[in-house]
Amino acid sequence: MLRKLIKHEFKSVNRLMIPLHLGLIAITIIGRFYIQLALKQYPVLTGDNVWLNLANMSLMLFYIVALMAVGLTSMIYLSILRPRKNLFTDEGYLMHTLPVSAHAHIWSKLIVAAIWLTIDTALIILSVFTMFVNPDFIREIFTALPDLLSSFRETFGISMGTAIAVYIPLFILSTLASLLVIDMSIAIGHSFNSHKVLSSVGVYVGATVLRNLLGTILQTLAGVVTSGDTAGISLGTFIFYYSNLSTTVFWLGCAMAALMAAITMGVAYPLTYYFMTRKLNLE
Amino acid sequence: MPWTLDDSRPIYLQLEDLIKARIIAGTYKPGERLPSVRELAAEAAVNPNTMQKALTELERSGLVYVQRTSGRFITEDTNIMKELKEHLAKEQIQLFLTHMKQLGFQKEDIIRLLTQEIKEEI
Amino acid sequence: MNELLTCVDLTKQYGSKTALDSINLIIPRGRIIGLLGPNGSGKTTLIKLINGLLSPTFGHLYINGMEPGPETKKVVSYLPERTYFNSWMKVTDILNFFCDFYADFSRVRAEDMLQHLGIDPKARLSAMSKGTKEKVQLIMVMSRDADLYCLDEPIGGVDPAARDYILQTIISNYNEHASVLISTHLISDIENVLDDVIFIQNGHIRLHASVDAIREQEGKSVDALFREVFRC
Repeated sequence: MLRKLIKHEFKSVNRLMIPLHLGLIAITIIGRFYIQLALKQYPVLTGDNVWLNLANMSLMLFYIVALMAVGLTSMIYLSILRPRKNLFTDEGYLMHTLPVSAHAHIWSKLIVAAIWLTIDTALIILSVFTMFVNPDFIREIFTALPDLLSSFRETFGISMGTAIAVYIPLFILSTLASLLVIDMSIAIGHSFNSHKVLSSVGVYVGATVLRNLLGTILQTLAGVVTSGDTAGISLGTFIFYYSNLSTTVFWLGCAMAALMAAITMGVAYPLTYYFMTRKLNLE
Repeated sequence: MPWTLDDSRPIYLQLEDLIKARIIAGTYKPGERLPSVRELAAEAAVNPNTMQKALTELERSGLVYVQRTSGRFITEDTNIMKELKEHLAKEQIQLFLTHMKQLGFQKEDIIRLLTQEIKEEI
Repeated sequence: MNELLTCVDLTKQYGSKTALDSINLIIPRGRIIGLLGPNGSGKTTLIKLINGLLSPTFGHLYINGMEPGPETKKVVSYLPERTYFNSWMKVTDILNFFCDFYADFSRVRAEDMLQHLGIDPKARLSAMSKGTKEKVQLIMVMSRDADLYCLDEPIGGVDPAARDYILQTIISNYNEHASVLISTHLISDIENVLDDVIFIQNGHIRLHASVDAIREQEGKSVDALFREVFRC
């Protein structure tokens, strides 16, 4: 049944996600064409003319805004709008009377959202890369790559490949944890008789405060372990923060991030399940 | 003949009467197969269980009999048909008599009026 | 096992408000039952409990001996008061959806009924009137070979022709293994179709009897009795 739920979830979600990302690809291709071909063929376009510069800057700005819009839309739609509409409004009357467990509902939403968010992230990175890459840049990277890899190994004590192999599952795990916190907030908020959306936001804010508190505690613990001078261990930042520290710290950071995600899921999942079954309260 | 049901009597009794009326009117002929319960229920827009109950009553009176595999049939027994007709006639006559008595007519007057009416009709 | 639905001291409270108060009820197979009561009497709450959309505050509810869950949802077919399909869906999308999730769904039967009503399977729901959408939903619900059909106000807002069609569908779909529970406040329209009626008021069952018994004992229609019991 989970497979069927995922199939139909994709069918619904793809209706927005595919056009959205086709749009992103189209903008990328057009932008790339403009930068790499038009500007080189007609240098006059990049001339000293103030108005031309202004136009080019506007195009750049438009591209950045478009990137952010695609990312933000995907995130808000997949994590908030879709689960709420499908499970907690009129559509819930159909979904919750299917012969399917709430576990399957939760996982189908998580899996499809996580897959699309991963695709989204990859496409955005790819877009930026495509937009500005040129043969010189690639050549430079290839010459610098051995140095880059060895310096990475020197600073972290592990290879870049290992770091990426660890980072990707951590990214997925923390994405799932973040999605689940939102699902939990929606499930709890919609168990109330009124002000369902407001309550959901309230629960989310409360959950975020608790998560930050947990993060701070874990950081403090990590600080004790690494004897003092280390700071934050948020998943997005640990690579940069510990660029001059030892392997121990790298692994500690990974462990902390994993622990953080695990605790979050360990709390949010049962609560989501409980409120989706025992406290379901469709209007 | 429409399936008109009123509000006061149990529906199955009304259905029984309506089917009897159809048999006498020749809508369903002797020896013919009756439509299935489901079809009859759909036609009369009533609950199939209620229709079933009406048919069971009809079976009990012998007007309808069941053939195990092929369904319900109207009896070809002329005696039962005659009995039914007479029974229904009796009901009508009793109703008529009650009404006449309410109007204040005595036995002799009723017979006189009735004979006169019949003669005129012929 | 003839008991299809059993409620034992079934109670549902919303905060301090009691919607259903210690209801004891048995519904056997092969019956068409009217769940009758004024608005806010607890009809929808009971139907939601049967479908697992609410959980009891106290007491128990069993369908085929099981508490509501994925197993009971396999055998209960539910028509809620509202339309629950996405408007971008085509009728064929909905057919596929029901085929995928309900093992007892008969696509042939659904397609027959759609054709009978002149509904194009390729049509999008967004292009349909509210009445047509409700018909599509009813067709989906009635095309399952379920044990228990729960129809919440199926004849509320529809025109007389559609109402007749709904009643015909219920009658022609009848079988002795399944029961149909119809909640409504328009009794005279469906009285002839019912075996039994349940009068529900302020979360209590006021009466649970067969239509024929009511007529025999009271000498009046269920509709008339209802008006008497629930006189304002």
